[in-house]
Amino acid sequence: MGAYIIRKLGEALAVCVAVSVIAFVLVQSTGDLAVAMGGLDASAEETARLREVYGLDQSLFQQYLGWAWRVLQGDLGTSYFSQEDVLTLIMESLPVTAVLAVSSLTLGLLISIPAGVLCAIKPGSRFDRVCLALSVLGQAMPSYWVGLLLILLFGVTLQVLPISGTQSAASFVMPAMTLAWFVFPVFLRLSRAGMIDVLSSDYIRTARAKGLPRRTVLVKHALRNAILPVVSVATVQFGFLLGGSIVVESVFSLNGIGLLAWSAIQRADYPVVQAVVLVVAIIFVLLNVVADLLNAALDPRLMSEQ
Amino acid sequence: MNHPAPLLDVRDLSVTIQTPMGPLSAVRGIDLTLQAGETLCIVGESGSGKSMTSLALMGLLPPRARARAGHIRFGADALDPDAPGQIERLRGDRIAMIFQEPMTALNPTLTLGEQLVEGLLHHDPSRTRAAATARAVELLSACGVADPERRLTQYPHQLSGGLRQRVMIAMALMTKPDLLIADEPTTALDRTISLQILALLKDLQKRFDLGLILVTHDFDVVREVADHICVVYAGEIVETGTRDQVLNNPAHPYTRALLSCVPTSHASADGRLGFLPGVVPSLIGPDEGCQFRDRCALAHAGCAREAPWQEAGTGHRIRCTLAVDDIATLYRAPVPPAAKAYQPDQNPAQPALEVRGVIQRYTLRKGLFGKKGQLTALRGIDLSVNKGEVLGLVGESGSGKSTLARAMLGIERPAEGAVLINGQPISSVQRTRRARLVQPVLQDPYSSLNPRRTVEDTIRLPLDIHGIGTVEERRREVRRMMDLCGLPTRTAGSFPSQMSGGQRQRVAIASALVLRPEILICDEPTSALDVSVQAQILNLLKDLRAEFNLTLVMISHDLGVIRAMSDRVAVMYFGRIVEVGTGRDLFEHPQHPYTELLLGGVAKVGGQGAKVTGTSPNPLAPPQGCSFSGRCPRAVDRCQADDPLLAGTARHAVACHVPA
Repeated sequence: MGAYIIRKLGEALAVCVAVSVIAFVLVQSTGDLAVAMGGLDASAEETARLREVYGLDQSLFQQYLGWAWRVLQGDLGTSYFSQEDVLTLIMESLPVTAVLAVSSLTLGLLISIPAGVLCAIKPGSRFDRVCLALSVLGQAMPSYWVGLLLILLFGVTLQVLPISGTQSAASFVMPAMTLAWFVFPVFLRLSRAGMIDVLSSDYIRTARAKGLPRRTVLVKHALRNAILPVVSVATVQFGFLLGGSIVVESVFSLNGIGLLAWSAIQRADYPVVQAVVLVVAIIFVLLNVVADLLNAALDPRLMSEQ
Repeated sequence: MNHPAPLLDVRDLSVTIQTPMGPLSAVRGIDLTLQAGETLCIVGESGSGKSMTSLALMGLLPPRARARAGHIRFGADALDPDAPGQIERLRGDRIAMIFQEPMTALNPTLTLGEQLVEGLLHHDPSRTRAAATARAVELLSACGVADPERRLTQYPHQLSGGLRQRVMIAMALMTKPDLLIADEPTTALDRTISLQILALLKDLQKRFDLGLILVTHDFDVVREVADHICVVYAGEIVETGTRDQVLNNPAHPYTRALLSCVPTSHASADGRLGFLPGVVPSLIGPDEGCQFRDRCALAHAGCAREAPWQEAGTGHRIRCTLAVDDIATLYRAPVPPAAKAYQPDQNPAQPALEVRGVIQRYTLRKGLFGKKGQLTALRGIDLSVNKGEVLGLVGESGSGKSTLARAMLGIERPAEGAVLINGQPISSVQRTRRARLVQPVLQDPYSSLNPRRTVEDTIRLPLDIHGIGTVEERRREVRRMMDLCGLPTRTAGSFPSQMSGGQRQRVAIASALVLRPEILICDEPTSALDVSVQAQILNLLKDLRAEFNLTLVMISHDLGVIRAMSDRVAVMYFGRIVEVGTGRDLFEHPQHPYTELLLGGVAKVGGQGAKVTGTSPNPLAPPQGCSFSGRCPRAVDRCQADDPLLAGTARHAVACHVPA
């Protein structure tokens, strides 16, 4: 296990370096940053001065090394727009998004896995068909619309939940429900298909042949194998929720990292954009490592292949 | 004779499966009796209902299947197969079951120790985990598993197939069952391993006074272990009796025809196998008449009514509308006219296919920074096949048979050495030209045909690709190939899913031959087929060989198939050819101990003791000396240090320091 973890972390490190290069090049390749910062009215001298101040006159390679060295020391730069430390900006908004992502993912999994298992036990039953219909709805409805519907119901009509902001835990209920509704179809289908597959497998027949009680067969023998793909996808989804919940954050006016990235892009605030891309990407990579380790813990075959 | 009360007594067992086309009668009124310590073999082709019978006894039928029975008595218990809880109580306790696929029958995510003890702990809660574990260790070593304590913490994927099946057997015996049901327990295993497993089952049966029901399609297995045999066809028992009665004096026309299809030790490349045309009928809404009558050579108008049971001897009974004596006088083994005699050129100027010093390596790597490993699949192969000859290539899984086939087809270029066709290296032959020299017939006709192409399209495709002939000529050619391969014209528009396995394999052969290649490489062409269909396909290949003057390479793990087809035989072990010779020489006077092992029966394997229980060496770290020395009963010191090379005459050569 130790060697496996070290190998996975080594791979992750390599991917992180690659990601940092891509994040850097992506932002650089959007055009001349000095012109973008100075705006259309800036004179040639002003642009040149901007270029000098921000080190944009150096070679790309030097710029990357300088940026990477500062990043390693925890210096993600300063926002062009607000002149605030980028790290501080990210540390303010990341927890909001993280809370949202964790709660919506947990909610989604808690509903979809048991539902998927129940569907798989009797495929074609009424419960199964209702769940599948719901999952089609979940995939078809855009999350901003779901968010607005929830606001209408709980915020406006019933007036039981706050419709925006991050003042209390209650503020997170509707955004979390919106995102859970978004992830529910994927997990339902995965756990249902996985479970149907596993239940028809030979080792389930072996377990039944031993005379084990139904519950033991279902939980101990089937579920553990069936949720392997769910674990992989859940961690990736978690990454998406961290980086891509912009829509829901703006519907509910949550100052999360999605909103931060969105406003930074609008203002051509490149240090922030670059830093958000880097941070989200690194979290993504780490989540994949976590997924690999979780899968390895659940499925011993992965650790000792050949 | 004074029979004690039987261990198992089943009367009139039926299983019906609900399908969209209507109820399917998979099992129709089967009676079984089994004494303690006896082995009953239920033998039949696929679709005969043999597996459904065993699953019904275990209460493990699929959700859409329902079982009914006159009665099922197990010891002193009377069971109702439809009453929930009755069979469940005995299942895994006094009745245990092992299955066909040891690779998938164990849960990949639980340790073997946990899987071994959980059943016992459930049925006997008073037992401590330590006591259960002690029993697991005891049984594992009784089942010939070395180092049992260490196995307990291992997972299934860390074990070979044979070892997994041993663990499965130990697992089934944990609760000291009285009855063990084994559904094709050795079908997925290599021959040497399967012989070991059968020997083990017989040994355990004696030690634990176990009743054994063995479900199989393999007459070799039946011959090794059966006390009594039930031959099932289309959900009914058609013949039952002792092993001697059924195998040596079969009475029912079906049993007789089926046995004539089995390649035996008398089979040779010159003769033909028996012939049993047709397939098992659909069991949706069958009438009460004999279901075999459509394929039976002796069928008459009276067969449409229910066939009565008849005595053919003491305890030997058949179900047929004809009297036993009448069958005996009327029945003629349905062997069609002999294959066109064909004498291969014994001393040709040039072999049609030559393999020279072929070595094939694969590089394995895990992950982005994983260690590289080098796997040598072929370790220097020299082989030549003359024009018109059939070379049989036999070996266990992992011996490199299929790798060699890919090299001979020119699909994979070997790391070293060369494959020559008519003296020309295949690597220098253009791709389209190559396709007209050598063609494959693959194992699984279910996955090797494109499901969206009709039979005619599939057979015509090579002609289209190579632009041969006009549309009308192609159509005629396709019809001719279909005719030669025994495909009725009406099947031209059918899709593979509408055809049986045997028909699909005929389509595969027709499309391989439509370009008129000189060489056909058949990789396990019949191992997915029933024995009666196998005989049809093998006979077809014999005919086509004579028709087209084909050179054939026949790859199989089944010695019977090899024996029935091959002029010359090469035995492969661990990436090498260890023995090669003419069919008769090799089968009658094997020289390599591995060939002897392949040819030997259970008794021989059991007698040779622990040495033969080993498996092939690790291909990532091949041993220095002879690769078989670890399993060899004749190994001497020299074998560990010095790797023997193939030596001998063109008729018979062997790679061994101590040949027989």
